Amino acid sequence: MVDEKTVLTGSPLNPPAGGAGPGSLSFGQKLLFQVPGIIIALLLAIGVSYLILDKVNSETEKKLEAAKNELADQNRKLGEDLKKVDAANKKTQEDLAAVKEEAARIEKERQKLADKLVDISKSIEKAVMDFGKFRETTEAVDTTQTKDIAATAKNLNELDTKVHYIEKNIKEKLDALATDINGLKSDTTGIKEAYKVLRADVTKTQEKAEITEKDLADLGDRARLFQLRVLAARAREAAEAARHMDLKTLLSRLDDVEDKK
Amino acid sequence: MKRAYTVFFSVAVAALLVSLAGCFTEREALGKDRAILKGGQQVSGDMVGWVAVPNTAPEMRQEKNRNISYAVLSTHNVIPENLSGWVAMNPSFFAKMTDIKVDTPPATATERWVLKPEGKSVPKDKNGWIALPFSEPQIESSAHKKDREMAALAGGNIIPKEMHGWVALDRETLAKVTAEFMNKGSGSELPKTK
Repeated sequence: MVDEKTVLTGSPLNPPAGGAGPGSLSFGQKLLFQVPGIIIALLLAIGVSYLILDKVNSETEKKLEAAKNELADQNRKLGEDLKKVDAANKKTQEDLAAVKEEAARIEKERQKLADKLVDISKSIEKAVMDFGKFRETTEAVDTTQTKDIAATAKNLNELDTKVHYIEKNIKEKLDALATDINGLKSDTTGIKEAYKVLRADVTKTQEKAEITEKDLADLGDRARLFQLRVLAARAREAAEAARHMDLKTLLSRLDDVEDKK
Repeated sequence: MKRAYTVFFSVAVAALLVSLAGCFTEREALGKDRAILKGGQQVSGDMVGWVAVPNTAPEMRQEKNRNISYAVLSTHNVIPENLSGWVAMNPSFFAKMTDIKVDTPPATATERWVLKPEGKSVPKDKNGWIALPFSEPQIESSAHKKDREMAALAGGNIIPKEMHGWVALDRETLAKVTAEFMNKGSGSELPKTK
């Protein structure tokens, strides 16, 4: 190995061209005297460099070794993790398969349920139809029953009305007339006989299960005729009372004309 | 001579009686107990307690459509003999029985005057009034309807205030009206057939 500096400064064997005197060292001499030092310095420098490099190398190797170890650990850990992941993956796969099976089972169940739902829907639809028919039938029965009841009630009501009509409009009038007949002073034998017959017929009609319009009309006509007889008798007596100025009797007879209130 | 005195005395007494009689109330010539008063006359003893009212009689009216004659009474009317035996009734009752609505006559403003005591002078405003023993019709009411009232009239009855506007009918007309009312009255109807 040749040092470039050394070449530039020359060696004692090869002095510079201008030559130096005897009292001073030439450049070559100087350089010659400095070579051992330089060599030693070089050796020292080389040794120190070697040591430094060795030290650095050693540390680097250590670091490398540590890194290698760390890497190995990491690889190991990674392997373990991969194993775990693999195991987990396997388990996931298994789970997925299970899930798939479950899904398939659920799908089957759903399908079954759907089929059942359809069946139920059909059943409900049928039930609704049946209920509709039942309701229609019930309504028809109800309507018929209501009509029957209404007809019966109407008949009963009509009968009741007729009985009430007889009671209120004929019987009571006849009873009032009977009072008037008893109040008459003239001979009322014929009128009384007619009253008895008419009263009996009224009661008989009233007790009939079915009273016709004709029954009512007949009774009404007979009652009116009877009333006319009584009225005529009363009027005769009242007129007689007027002629004789019997005012008490006259007022009493006049009171008979309208309801005693 | 004695006979001449007797005759003279008799004539004088007769003249005195005649002059005294002229001072007292003048009786009607009908022989009834009633007198027409003259203002200034004195109340005689036999007329004490009589009642004097204006000399008015009931007003006669006729319903031509129904051929009914009736008399409308006013307060203090004196019932004449030709209405004796008639029957009066209140106007609402009469209207109910006959469907005739009678207008009430104007109310009488005067009051009855009782003749007393004996010798009292008749006030001038009572001149022409009729005096007679007090009597008035007896009102009969219905037992059931108090608004139905009737009264039999007699000659010489003085109509009280309560009977002002009443209507009187003779008995035969009343009998006819009554018979019609009772045969056609509102309460005489039986129910019609349905």
